[in-house]
Amino acid sequence: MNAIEIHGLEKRYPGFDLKLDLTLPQGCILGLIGENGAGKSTTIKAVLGMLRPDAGSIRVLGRDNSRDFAPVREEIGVVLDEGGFPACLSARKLGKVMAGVYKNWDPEAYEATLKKLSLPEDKAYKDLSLGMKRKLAIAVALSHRAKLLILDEPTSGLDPVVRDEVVELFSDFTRQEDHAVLISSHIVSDLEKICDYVAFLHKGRLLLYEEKDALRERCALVQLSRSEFAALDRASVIGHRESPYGVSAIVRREAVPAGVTVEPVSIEDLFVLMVKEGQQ
Amino acid sequence: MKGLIRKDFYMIWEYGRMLLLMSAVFLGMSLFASDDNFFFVVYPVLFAGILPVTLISYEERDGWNRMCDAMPVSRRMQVNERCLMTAFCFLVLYLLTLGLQAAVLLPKGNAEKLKELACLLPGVGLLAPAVMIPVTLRWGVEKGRFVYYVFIGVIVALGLIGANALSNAPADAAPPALWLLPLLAVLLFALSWLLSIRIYEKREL
Repeated sequence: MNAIEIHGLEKRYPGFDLKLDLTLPQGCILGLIGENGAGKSTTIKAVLGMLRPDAGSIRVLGRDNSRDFAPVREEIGVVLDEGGFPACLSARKLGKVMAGVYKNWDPEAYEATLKKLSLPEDKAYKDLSLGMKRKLAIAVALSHRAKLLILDEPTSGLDPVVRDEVVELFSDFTRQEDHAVLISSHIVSDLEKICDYVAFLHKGRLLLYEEKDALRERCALVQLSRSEFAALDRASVIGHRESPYGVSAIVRREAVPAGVTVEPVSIEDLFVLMVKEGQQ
Repeated sequence: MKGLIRKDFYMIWEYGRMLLLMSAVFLGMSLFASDDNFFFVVYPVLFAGILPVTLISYEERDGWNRMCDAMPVSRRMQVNERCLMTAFCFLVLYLLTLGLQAAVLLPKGNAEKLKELACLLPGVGLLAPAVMIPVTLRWGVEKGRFVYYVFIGVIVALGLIGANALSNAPADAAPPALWLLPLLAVLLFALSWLLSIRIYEKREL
């Protein structure tokens, strides 16, 4: 069973529309990558049933999310981009509230995660730093035995050391075969560490959806002179960037000219060059 | 729903402490006011009715309403909880006010005044939230507040018209059916509750 199946999703707003087909297999982490306004949060809200699509269907953990979806959310841990907890509540009070919201609330797991993430239990939410607010949302998401985590920019505002710890938590989460994670982020390096699949969103359209390792095997970053670049089959060029020193291009490995040094391609390079390619 | 109720109690304690304190002061003062002075009696019940509604503005600011949509809490349950809290707060202050007034009025043999209060207070406490809850859930806090001020104006105007009509009524005219007021208030609150569910289930945040 797939954790998430999005078929023919369409959502229209004035000046923006999202069209999407996407699948997240169980046991996997899917990274949703896109610039501001690309449609990441809209996708996440649509998956959670927080907005009504204009067309298409979404199944989450095998259930249609347009019908009686609230009980399914028991099995979904969520971190929203905008926070979302009452400003006056401390982590301790929030835990008590969540114990009355989630049937499977695990107070020991919550306390352990608070300790692991060095979160104060009695400080009001409004007095926490942005990073601490994120960490608290992550602690809540991980404390009710969810099978699916849906995380909208969970690592923004965190310092690199904490980001690494948090990314490790998500990675641990998917050690169980029936667990899955959908994670959106601007910080592509975080996604690169943990994702099995990557999906690039640009202006409401899916630019690319592929297994990360397969993508790395298929593509390569090469530094070429302008004449070498001009000689390439353009169909094999995924993205390129010109500079006074030549051309950086991501190309399919089979199309790399003989003798050219090949560098491993990073997801960040791939995304940036693909978006720029689309703009040219 | 238990979690939502607990959250509301936390928020009422945090943001409504001043209103609760003022209610206590007003209730205390009502014990010493003249029997015809309803001011100190009416305000605590009015506060109690609108207190849970004012929490909606804090929740909108904090994004809690969106968070609820990501949790195993249906829109219907969210509205049910809000209306139950409103009814609970009203009922507590209503009974407290009536109890205190009974202690003051009954020894004076003024049971009629107590009956009048018992009939008037549900209108005071329930009508404001009955108007504000669906409006706030449909159009947000700012418009909800505007409608509330308009509503207060309309109620004051109707009160003045009613008082004027009563003072001009012939002496042998039948007394107004005050007992209808609480029924009307409860009925309006119930209708508002149902309407709020319909409205909020359709709203996209």
